[in-house]
Amino acid sequence: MTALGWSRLHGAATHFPIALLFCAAFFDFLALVLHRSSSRVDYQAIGYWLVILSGLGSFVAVVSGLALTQWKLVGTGSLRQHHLFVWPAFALMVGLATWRSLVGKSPSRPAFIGYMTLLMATCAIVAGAGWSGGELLVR
Amino acid sequence: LLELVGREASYSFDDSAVKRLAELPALIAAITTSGLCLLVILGLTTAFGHPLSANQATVDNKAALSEETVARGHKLFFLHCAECHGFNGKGTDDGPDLYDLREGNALIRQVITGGVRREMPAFGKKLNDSDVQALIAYLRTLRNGRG
Repeated sequence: MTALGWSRLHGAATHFPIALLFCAAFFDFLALVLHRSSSRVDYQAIGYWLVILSGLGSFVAVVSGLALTQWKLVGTGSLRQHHLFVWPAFALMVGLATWRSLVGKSPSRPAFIGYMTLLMATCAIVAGAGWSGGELLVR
Repeated sequence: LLELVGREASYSFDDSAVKRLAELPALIAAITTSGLCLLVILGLTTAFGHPLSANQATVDNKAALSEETVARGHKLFFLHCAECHGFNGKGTDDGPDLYDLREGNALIRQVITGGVRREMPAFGKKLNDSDVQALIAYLRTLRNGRG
């Protein structure tokens, strides 16, 4: 595939995991706040699937991005800034998706609070990765 | 009342010691998976990140610094690009503004040589590698606001 093809694939593939992660955080946050509601289990189930899909989607985004940059791990300038956000974000997304898939839809409350804290931090880092990635393309 | 209490209990978090104990190995597995994924990425970049691309970037950067190269790029721009992108590079109805390009050299080179389907013709047969470098050098001056 050409560089332009990878660019288009990367542009298309990156938005899915970002959106899925943010939606997962939203529904899990609802589950945490409305923990006495009968809907909590449903919110957690949505958060569970969204974070797993987000983790899976991040692989496509990362591989297409690496192919686009000719397999540069860090790079220079704006690309370096982008990668400084991307690698922690990718590690956290994979870690969160793995943990959630292993413990199930409804973890214990202390663990869920810890998970939510990390999920919020991941959202912030992913936002940074998205912003710096956009800066590479926006004229 | 008992039914209500029972329903509430079924909605609440399962904080049993057994459940908490099962969450620790999951945490270790998650950290291990993340680490392994990063190692795979490191392996891929080491295996496929050939030094040619780094050399190419150096050549492009050197080319960008040479005024002679920029001047040649300017001429080539007038010959091949200005018709659609405007003589000042600010764009026309047929082609976008080329100021402040943030795309990498590799992508710009690909667009110039390979074109964009239904949007821009390919110049790979008309321009050699040195010409493309000169064009990129000129385009970079537009980015710097000197064009």
